[in-house]
Amino acid sequence: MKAKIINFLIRLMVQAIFIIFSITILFALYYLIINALKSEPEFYQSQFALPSKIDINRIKDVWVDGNIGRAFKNSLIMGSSTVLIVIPIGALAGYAFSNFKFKHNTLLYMSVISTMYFSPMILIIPIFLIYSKIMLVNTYIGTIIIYSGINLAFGIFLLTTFFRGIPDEIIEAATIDGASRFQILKSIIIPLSTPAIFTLGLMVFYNVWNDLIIGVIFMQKPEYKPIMAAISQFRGKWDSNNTAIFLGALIATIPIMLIYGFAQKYFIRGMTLGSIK
Amino acid sequence: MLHIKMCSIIIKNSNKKIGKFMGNRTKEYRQYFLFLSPAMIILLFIYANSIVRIVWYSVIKWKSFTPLQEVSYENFYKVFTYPHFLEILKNNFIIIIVTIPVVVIFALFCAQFLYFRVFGYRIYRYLFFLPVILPNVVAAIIWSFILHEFGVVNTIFQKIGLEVLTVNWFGNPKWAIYGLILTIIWKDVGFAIILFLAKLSMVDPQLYDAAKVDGANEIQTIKFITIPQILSVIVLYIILELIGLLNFIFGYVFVMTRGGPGYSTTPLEFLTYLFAFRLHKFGMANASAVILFVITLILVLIYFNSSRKKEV
Repeated sequence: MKAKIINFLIRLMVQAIFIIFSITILFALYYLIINALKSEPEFYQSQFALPSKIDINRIKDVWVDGNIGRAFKNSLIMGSSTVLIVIPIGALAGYAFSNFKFKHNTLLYMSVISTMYFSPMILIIPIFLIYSKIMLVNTYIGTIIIYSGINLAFGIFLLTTFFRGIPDEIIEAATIDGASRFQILKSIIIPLSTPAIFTLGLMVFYNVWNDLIIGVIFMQKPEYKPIMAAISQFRGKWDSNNTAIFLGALIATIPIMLIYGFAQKYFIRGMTLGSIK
Repeated sequence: MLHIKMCSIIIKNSNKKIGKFMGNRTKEYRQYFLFLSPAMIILLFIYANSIVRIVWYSVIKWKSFTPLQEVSYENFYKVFTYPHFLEILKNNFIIIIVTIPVVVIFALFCAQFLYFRVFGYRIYRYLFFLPVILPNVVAAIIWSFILHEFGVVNTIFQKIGLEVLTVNWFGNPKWAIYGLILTIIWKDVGFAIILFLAKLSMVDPQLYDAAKVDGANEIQTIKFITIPQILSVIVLYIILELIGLLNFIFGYVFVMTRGGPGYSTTPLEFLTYLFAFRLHKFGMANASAVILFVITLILVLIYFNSSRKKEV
């Protein structure tokens, strides 16, 4: 009986804590949305109130004049290019790591995987010096190469793990039928791994979209800035325009929330992949 | 940083035997390299090349942007004796020592009660995960407004007559770092919850039934059942969070404080940026990048070691 009362009190406390935490989350989103849609004078009147009206011209202004539209496009281009590079290269390497047995395979694999734990900060100085020499600063291609390099370890990791789970019998049967390594990868392993590849694509796109550091350093011209660099470095007349910053942040969040809304299963599955087994 | 945590849960013993192909060993080897070569070319250029270079650049002398080929340890000496270097290490230390215990304890608590299916657990599970997917630049922008001198928190305190509690978060060197930490905790805790929850779902439910029969309350079950049962995941998470807090907080710092006021919110990672792109001290920038690299490398080795021992 006593335990029951204590548990009831504990549950009350838990609800209180959970509700408070939920409120901070919901409030943060509410705060972002309402202030994004306000005009600057309205923001100074009250930061809590709903916007009186939604001004399409203001949104257009931030999108065009504030360079957010351009940045949005840049991030889309670089994000999808990086996905298209990381998936095939990661699949080839993942296949090598999961299906060949060599003495130093594990060591090599571990060194490859370890690259994803290091801050991009350690690469930036040498690569910046090289890029300045060969004129790759402020280019899509140069930046996409860096993004691919940063995300490759994760791609290899995810696909190697997934490929290892594919039953050997299927692969052996194909080998007996005379399929080459490449054919096995292309027509058996890849089709069996579509969920993993989909998850990988999402995560790589998400990472590129969220990147700040590479964008800030390698895309210094306003017309090449990716989205996160653009919203954190508003210039000129948008410099101290609070609601424009909110609007930029909201625009940058929308694609992420859409992806999460539609593919939540893949996000969470990717995260708990190993622990469920 | 999310992806790193994602996979890290999974790293397992990688020497699982699979290659059962018969045939010529040399041909095998050639194919192996063929499959690996595109990835290796990119990784050698981006990582191996850069790491060798920062080590090399950190021991040569620089004249503005041109390296002079003269080896010395002067750069390291200059970094270690940099007037703010101790403060910067202290910042890193505070971020780690505050964030990790708070995130772990809070996440354990949340995970446990989500596991017990408290009223509304589905909604909570969905909500608690939202900050995790929110881009960290956006989270940093929102919280820098919430904690601003005239922001949400201070306005509320003023309205309810608690003006003593109003703090100029980002104008005060004493408080700025806690504003940063608060944002990081708010954003990171959801991932820890999901991770612990996934591991909890593998714990034998009979243990909890037995505890109930013995009259233990729900807080006690956290201490006596949950923590021992999921300890391996907790340890892995702590190492990962350590790596993350050292290596992936540039976004928060850049957006919320730019390292200021003074150097009060500059961690080692941001110091490298300041040296290289603000103060134009390339030798020192490389030296601090090497310091960051070495610390992280040690942590990664510890992480690999412990994740291999304990199957996650």
